[in-house]
Amino acid sequence: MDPIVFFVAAYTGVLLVAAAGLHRLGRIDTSPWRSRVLAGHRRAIGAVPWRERSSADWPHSEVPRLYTGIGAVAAAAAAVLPAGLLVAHHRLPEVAVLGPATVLALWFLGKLMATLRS
Amino acid sequence: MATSTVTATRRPSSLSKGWVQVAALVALSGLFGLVLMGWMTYQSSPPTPKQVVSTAGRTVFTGTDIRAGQDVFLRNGLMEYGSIFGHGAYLGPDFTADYLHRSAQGVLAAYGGAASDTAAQRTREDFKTNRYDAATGVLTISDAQARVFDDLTGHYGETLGAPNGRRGLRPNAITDPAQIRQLTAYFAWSAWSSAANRPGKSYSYTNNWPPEPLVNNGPSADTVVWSVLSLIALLGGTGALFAAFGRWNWLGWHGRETQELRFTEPQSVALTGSQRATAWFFFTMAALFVVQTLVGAASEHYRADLGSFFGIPLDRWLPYNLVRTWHVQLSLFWVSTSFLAAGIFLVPMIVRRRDPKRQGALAYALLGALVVVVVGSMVGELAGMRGAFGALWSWFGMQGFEYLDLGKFWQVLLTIGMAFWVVILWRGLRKRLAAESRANLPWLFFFAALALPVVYAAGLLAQHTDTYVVTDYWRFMVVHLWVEDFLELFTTVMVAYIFVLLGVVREKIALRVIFLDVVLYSAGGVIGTAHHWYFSGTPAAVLAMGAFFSAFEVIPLTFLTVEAWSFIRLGARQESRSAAAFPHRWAVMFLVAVGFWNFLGAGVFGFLVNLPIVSYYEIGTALTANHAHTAMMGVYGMLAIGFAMFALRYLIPADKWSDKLARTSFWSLNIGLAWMSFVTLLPLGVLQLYHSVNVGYYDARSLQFITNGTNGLLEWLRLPGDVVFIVGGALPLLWMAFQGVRYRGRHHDVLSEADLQLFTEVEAHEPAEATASGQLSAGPLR
Repeated sequence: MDPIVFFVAAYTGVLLVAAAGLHRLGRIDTSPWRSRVLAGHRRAIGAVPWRERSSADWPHSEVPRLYTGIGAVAAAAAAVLPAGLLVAHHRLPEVAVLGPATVLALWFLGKLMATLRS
Repeated sequence: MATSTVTATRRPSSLSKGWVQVAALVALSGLFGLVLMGWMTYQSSPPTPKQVVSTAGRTVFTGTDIRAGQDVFLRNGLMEYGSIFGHGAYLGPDFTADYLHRSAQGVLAAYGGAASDTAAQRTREDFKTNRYDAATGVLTISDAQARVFDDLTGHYGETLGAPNGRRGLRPNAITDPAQIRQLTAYFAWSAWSSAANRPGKSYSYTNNWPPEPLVNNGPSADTVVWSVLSLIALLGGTGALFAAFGRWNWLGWHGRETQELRFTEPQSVALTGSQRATAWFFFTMAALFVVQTLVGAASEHYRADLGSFFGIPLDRWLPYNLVRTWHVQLSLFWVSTSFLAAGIFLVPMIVRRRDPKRQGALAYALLGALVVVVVGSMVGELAGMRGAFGALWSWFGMQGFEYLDLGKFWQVLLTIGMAFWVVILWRGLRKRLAAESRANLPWLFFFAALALPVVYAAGLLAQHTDTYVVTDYWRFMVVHLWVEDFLELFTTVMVAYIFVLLGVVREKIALRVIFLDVVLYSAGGVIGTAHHWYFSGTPAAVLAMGAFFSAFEVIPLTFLTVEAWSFIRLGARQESRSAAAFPHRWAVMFLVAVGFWNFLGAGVFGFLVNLPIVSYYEIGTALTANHAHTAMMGVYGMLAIGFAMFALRYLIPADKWSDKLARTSFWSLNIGLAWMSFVTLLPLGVLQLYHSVNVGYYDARSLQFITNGTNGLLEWLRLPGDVVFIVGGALPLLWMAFQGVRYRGRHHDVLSEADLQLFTEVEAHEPAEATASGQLSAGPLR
């Protein structure tokens, strides 16, 4: 089997992990204010500046869309690359590697798109 | 006496002198390191021999041929086709590696072929032994190398002068046998300096770059050791900075937490004549951006299909090296246009007074000059590559250094134009500056602007008559120091000032951010310029300094990304409290994108190619292009558009403003850029790097490899993303900028200070403090 098949399958996996990571990142508060690194600072100023904030404040509200949106681009890339390679590499073992990779990426892309639409 | 009176009336800085002193000390240290590396570069560059003779006594070529060859290389735009010492474009070969590999093969064959160990050993010794006599200026090469030179002169004549094109260059690009011979001499000299050991050293003038087993070129000890130390510097520096940040709360982020703001409706903010003039700047910016994406698409098409552009023989009129030249030049032009316009737009808001007389006319004159430079330089590059301008080719035609392709005449005009822009800013700011400490925001804004023409002018010292490594030293004063450090500084000042003017960040915090930026970039970015010079002929000490200090560059990128979020969230806090809507939603969203791409494109993808050991195998591959696109467009492009969105929000009336278009442009640009990176540039770069290590650098840069089936597929898969980027991202921006031009006259003129105030405080629970303008209450027009 051409090594490129393994490369694209592995790269698809990396892209999906990155997409999942971005999606997850969008669901958490990434503010340095929430970070434990700044606990000393919060104590020093005697306040928790964001204590009363909800995550719906703009641009917090855009964070899930931004990260999930970029994650969806990564997932779409993860679907397109093995699918494109299948055009040139479609012997049975190659289909066995690239096919599931494509299906997995499409499934995850669908999941992210559903999140974006909701 | 008069001076003391003025000094006495100046508003003191809200920041302690310690910040100013530390920033000045670190900046001076950084500049000292840069000058020191320049001195070392001049002292230790590879010599250009007066004569190159064979052991039989035949003169093969001369120093005059080498210098003339460099001129042929530059004026024909070959640095925008392939590369030399790894620097240049990505379609054609690296001519240093190409000549070295082909000549080593030829010599090996002459000595008995690859099957013979003796021949292999003899070939390695032949190339590694330095037979340059510094006293006479004569370089002696073996007879075998001399014969190969003749053969390769024929080879370059056939490839660079091919009558049917189909290689990215125009058909019959270079056909003059004398020029081909000079060009081959230039390539031969570069290959000699990359293989022959430096006197008294066990590595070559280029730290053994390119990798070439046939001549025993492998990574030097410095390349490996400084890669490791560079990693340690990154990890240690990041940890130390975050620890210090957490422990001592340097920034002390908090905005006007107890105050409520009401943002002024953009339509009711008065605009001055110079501000209205910026509508044309932003339209020009958007138009140049569209053209840049189109010529970029054309250059990308050459990588997908060398034969033709959907049946059209594009290489006859718009060869790869021309469209690529325009692509990289326009990237600087359109971003700079936005930055110039944003500076002019901001001044009346800073000073809150009418324009000085004829300020608007001067702004239009600047725009006219800019258009003349852009059009003149582009036409000059087109004509210059076709042999126009005779002996004045480097003045009006194609100067040929990547990113400094424009002729020297246009380069001088551009520098003067930027200086003229500083004068325009000075006229607007003059009275305000007289009343401010030099460590306050108005002066920092002015100093950051002043630095732009000053640093850009350093690029004028790149002379085609100098040896390559010296030209590269000055070239990167623009490509790295100007773009990556001083534009970054100006950007930080602008963004900080905008947030202060909008009332969401206190001046003291903005000042801390700016001084911290100066400290961090001076510590890493200035000396880190040397990471571009690892293998271009500088001594190993420059490689060491470049590797170590450039690792620190990632730290401020990470840190400023965190900082940018804090900054933006402070704005968000006010947005959620304000009764009036925050008017700059999309300008801020573009800043959010800057934060994302700053970390991924500049930080992660930049560091990916930054270690000397990685750069050794990957320089000039798609991984470099991946970093260049995600950092240049992702950071500076998004910033330039963010500035445009900020100004257009005021220039376009509320009923004509379209959030939908802004949203479409924002998402399309980000999706298109991410697609370009994830689908094509990153995987292609990884494949190319693997091939470079596994098979050879020469092979990984060959047209055969670049255009093979798998790579071709990856290139074609980029098409949908590029279409989204251009149609969904660039064109809506052009339309919005056109709306700005169309409706720019609808605002009322400035009658009082309040007309230029961007917010009012509804309720103040803490003592009033000075804003950027130093005035909270609206007063009569002075």
